[in-house]
Amino acid sequence: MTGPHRSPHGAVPWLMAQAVLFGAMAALLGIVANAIFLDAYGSAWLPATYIAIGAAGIVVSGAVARSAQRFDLLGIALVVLGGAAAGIGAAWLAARAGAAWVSVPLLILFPILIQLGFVFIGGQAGRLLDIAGIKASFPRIMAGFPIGAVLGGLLGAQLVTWLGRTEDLLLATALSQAAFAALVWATGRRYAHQLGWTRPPSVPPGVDDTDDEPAPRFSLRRALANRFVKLILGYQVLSAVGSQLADFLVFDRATAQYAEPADLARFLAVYTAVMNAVSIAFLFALAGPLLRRFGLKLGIAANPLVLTVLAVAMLAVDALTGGTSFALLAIVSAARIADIGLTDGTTRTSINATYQVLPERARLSVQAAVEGMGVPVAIGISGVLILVLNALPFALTATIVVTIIVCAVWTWAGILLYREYGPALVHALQRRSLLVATADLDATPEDEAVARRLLASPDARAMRLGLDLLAAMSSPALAVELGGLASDPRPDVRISALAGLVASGDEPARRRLADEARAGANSTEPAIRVAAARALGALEPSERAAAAALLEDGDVTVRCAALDSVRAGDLLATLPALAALGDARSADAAAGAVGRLGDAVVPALAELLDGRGSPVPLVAIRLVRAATTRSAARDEVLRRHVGHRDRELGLVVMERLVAPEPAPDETVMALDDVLIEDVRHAGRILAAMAAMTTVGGDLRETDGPLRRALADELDLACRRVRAGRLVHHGSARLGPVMVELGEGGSIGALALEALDVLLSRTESRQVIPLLRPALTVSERVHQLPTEARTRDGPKDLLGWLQDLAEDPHSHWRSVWLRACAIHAAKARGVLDGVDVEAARAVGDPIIDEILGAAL
Amino acid sequence: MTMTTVERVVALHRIGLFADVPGRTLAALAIRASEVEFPAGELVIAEGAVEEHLFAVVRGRVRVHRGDREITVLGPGSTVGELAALVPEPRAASVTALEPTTVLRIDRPLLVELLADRPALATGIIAALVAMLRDRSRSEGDTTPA
Repeated sequence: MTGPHRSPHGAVPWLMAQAVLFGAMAALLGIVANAIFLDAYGSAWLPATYIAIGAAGIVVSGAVARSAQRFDLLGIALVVLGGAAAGIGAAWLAARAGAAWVSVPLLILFPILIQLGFVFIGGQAGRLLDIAGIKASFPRIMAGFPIGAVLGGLLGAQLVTWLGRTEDLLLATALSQAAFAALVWATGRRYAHQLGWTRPPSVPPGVDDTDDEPAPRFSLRRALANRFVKLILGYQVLSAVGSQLADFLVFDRATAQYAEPADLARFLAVYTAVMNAVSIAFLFALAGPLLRRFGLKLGIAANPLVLTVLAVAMLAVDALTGGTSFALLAIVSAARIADIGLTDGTTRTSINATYQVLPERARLSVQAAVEGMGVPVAIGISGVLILVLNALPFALTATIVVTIIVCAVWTWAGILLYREYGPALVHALQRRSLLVATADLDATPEDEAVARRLLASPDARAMRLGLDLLAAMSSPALAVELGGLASDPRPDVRISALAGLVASGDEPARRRLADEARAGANSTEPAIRVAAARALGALEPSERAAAAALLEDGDVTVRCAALDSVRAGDLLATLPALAALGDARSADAAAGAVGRLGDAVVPALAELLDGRGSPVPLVAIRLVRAATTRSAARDEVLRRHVGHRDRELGLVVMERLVAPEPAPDETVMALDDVLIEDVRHAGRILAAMAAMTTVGGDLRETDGPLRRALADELDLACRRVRAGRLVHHGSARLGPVMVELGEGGSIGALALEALDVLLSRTESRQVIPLLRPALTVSERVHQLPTEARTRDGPKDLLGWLQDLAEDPHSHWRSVWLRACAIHAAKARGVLDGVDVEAARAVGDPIIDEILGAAL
Repeated sequence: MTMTTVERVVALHRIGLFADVPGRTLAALAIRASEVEFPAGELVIAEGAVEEHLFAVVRGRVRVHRGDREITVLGPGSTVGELAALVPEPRAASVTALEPTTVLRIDRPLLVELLADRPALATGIIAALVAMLRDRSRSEGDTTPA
């Protein structure tokens, strides 16, 4: 299948049109199949068809689920829908010939076709829209179904009048079904790139799919091993049983209330009209906004919760007014109307959204199995349940009580499903590690040959490289080679060879190495001192201490080598390592040493972080970054400084505190205060940026540095927010979400959904407007919570320039922002309006330079 | 004309290598970079010279050449001599100002310091070097960098 790559945004009307035709077909099939069946066999046999529906649903949906592993969604949909159209056409011919039995397979086919129709429309929506698009647009798509059902019902009534024979409605049904299939085909042509099977197969969660092997054959048992899939199935089955019971209660009470067929028909006409009107209005006007605002929490819980409450009300009304009261009929009808609206508007949309966390290839199979099998099975269960309940002496009350129990369990299943949804989203976002964690690098004969060639090289650097390679290879044959080199006349060669032997566990070599290292440390040759310094790591702590002078060697290469050899517990190395952090050339090696020294550096860390000087010394940031060994003492010091005055340092502190598990309560409290301050600061930055971009179209190039500085400041605030949340919730939970957030497309949308689900409502409101990528300044301002928006800030550009340059409330605390604001004010000729004395007092050379040039 | 630090940061932000570095960080480098003016025809870099700095072209245009063979012409927003700033080796090509040219000279220690605190910058440097090697191999038919 080929076709241009179109944006999926225009797909909603196509899917809605499919839903209209699908609804019309469903209404026509429902009317004609019931009419022929009831006329021929009576209502007593209806529950029996429910049981047959359950059995047939398992067979048909199982076949569809398995086919989804081999064929693409469109192919399956066209075969199923086209086949059904042909079957209904054949049934029309048979019915015209007087074969009333065709109503039996039609009645069984009816609910199965409905479920598969929803699966196909939902499956297309899942490929064409991301999760945010599903939440926003799927209710509108689903609104097509009741609209189609109303149109189908009206058309059916008119056709019966015109044609005079109910059977002929089957032809209209077959044509509607064929039109539905044709529209699926046309949608597939239009969106071939998204709907055609062009991507490599993916497999269920947790399975590595890096190789080219075909996906395993779909099995319901394997799919149900996934707790999340199990919960979706349970939820769907309970939903169908609850809805079926509510539907039964309406017809049961209506029959009890209206003995006359004409009265019953009038009631059913009004009831159906109200149900469709409420459903359409809810789907169009409320469902989308509600889901956008409250997310899947509401989408999954609303339907069962409302039905539970109304079922409890039914029980009360039944007890108070009796089973045949109009009040009971009214509340039963209200329950079913609410159920229909919520099922189509929120439940179906939410369940479709939850399938997005499953791998794409498995999605259709699981959806077909869960909905195609689960719902017919639930209808079968309902049939048995109703037959049993009807046989009881207090059938009505018993049915209501069972409805309450089913809906309560359904609510509980919804809560469990929502709880599992967040972890499932994180799982879906986790990428596999690109590298194998432990690579065994055993030397091959070719490697050894390369190392020997290097050793024979007249170039001293090549020879040392060969020695390093040799020392790193764990081949016993090479020990002999190293043994020979340990007697080399060159001291650096001897030291390196001995280090290689020590690494392979040669104790006498260790003693010789200690002597060589001590001697080498005093050499005037930097290369020998470097070799000695590198060998220290293989020695005992006391032997390392003897050569501690190398940590303060005048040659930076020697210092770096000595720092690389520092091990945990080398207290003598603490001060040299801290000093080496201040020199960019040795900062990397010093950072490694500081990391290994662990708690030994904590006092220095505390002293630097407690310091009040401004600006913060660079070494403080380097030290926090280097303090990688987690301990209670380190974390306690860092916790006290998550809200450090210097925002860059505060960011580094938070980044250092990130751990796989969530932070302890004390840290969480500190982080929550920091979040409030960061969001307010971001609001202030955004307000200033908005003023810079809406200054009556008077954009100047000389404002560029300030605009960029504000954008950088916003980026800093966003990184702080991200780091703070990672510390709060743990990187195991939020790490994959934060990584994928900037990805865009369906993965980015999934990450955004995960953020919305995993954070509290207050946090989401604060965090998402800042972390959501590709938003404009005004969109971010609009989405920020009211309390974070700067309402009492300056009113115009000059006001913002004054605020940034003078910083009277110490909001900005950034010399660079101050400098850029003064630069912009000077270029605009409004520096006279700025009190520059506060800026001068900072004593920063960049500010002095601008102000000096201004005089 | 001497540039202010803010103007230098603006100039450095136009260079791919530094485009993503926040101004507040780049200011520390800009303030210590040297501003150098070359009249038209003057040699900016001599092939074979062992130096430890790169030049960021702020104004004007320079010609990168080996002898008389022109490798490329670069303008504002370009850098020349990045490799030497990272690994001091003899310059692989000469660079001559085609017109009055202003450059910012960034010495190796400055770059090393920036890299020490912003390891992500290394990614930018690698990307810039790869792009440079690709461009030059395309224009010159071999892979020798300047």
